Amino acid sequence: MSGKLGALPWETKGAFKTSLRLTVPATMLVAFLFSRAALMQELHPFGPSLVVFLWGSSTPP
Amino acid sequence: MIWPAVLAAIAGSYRGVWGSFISNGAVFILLGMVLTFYPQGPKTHFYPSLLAPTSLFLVKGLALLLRGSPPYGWIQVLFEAFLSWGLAQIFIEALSTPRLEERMLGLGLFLAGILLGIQGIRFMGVSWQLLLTYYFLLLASLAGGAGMGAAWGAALGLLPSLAQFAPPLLAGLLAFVGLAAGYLRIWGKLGVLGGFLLSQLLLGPYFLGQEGIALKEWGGAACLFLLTPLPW
Repeated sequence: MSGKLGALPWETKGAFKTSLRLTVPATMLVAFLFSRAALMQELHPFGPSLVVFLWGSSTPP
Repeated sequence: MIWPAVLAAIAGSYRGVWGSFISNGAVFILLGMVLTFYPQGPKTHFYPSLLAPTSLFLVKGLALLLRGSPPYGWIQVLFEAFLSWGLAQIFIEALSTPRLEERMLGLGLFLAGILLGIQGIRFMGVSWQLLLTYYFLLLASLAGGAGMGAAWGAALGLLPSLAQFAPPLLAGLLAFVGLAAGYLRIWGKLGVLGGFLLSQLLLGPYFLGQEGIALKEWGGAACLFLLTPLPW
């Protein structure tokens, strides 16, 4: 962990972004689970929103 | 990172019915292609969140047109598209907002997606959804006391009823369990765990009958909770 002494991990510069950058297997697992998630057995809105979120979060605003 | 996620999402969308698998898979393939062709993304946050409902509506609307579906199918697709827009917008906003409440909302919906996704997955007779539900409830009770435990219990207990057509019995039970576990927070982790187990033993069979006693899930959640590196 880099950064100033005594700082919490999420207070150090870059550590927050690093913690958000999920590894590929973790992302795949989350995507798998999100696409399985169903509301009222028939609605599956979680999967597409996660894929868009992954893209939107990796691009600068 | 996009295509591994897309492929995993396609795999997860198989539920034994080929028709819905093909249409759901086509949504993810379309999204993957759009995101590959436009890797830099747009300048505002509003536009990317609209990609999810647009893809859903285009692909599933085409499938409905080809099948000649009744109006209910269109209403379903509209609802699904609307929900996907809201979720994508919340997730993207939660990442950049400075407000803690909005971040907590994003995190809560993220956990809801995970819990809804593992519904029906059992390993050695253990329901992973129930185990993680109990684990999150224990964490909430330890972090925020009786109020937060009861609120999280009610919210977590509603998830199985949202996923399928089932009465929300678990919501009432988990609200009481979170309340009892949170009250005993003054004795730390062991107090929270004691309140959780006692209230489950007292109220579980009353609310859910025989299914109210889930020893494996209680034990698994308790072990995870005790192993979590938090102050005692």
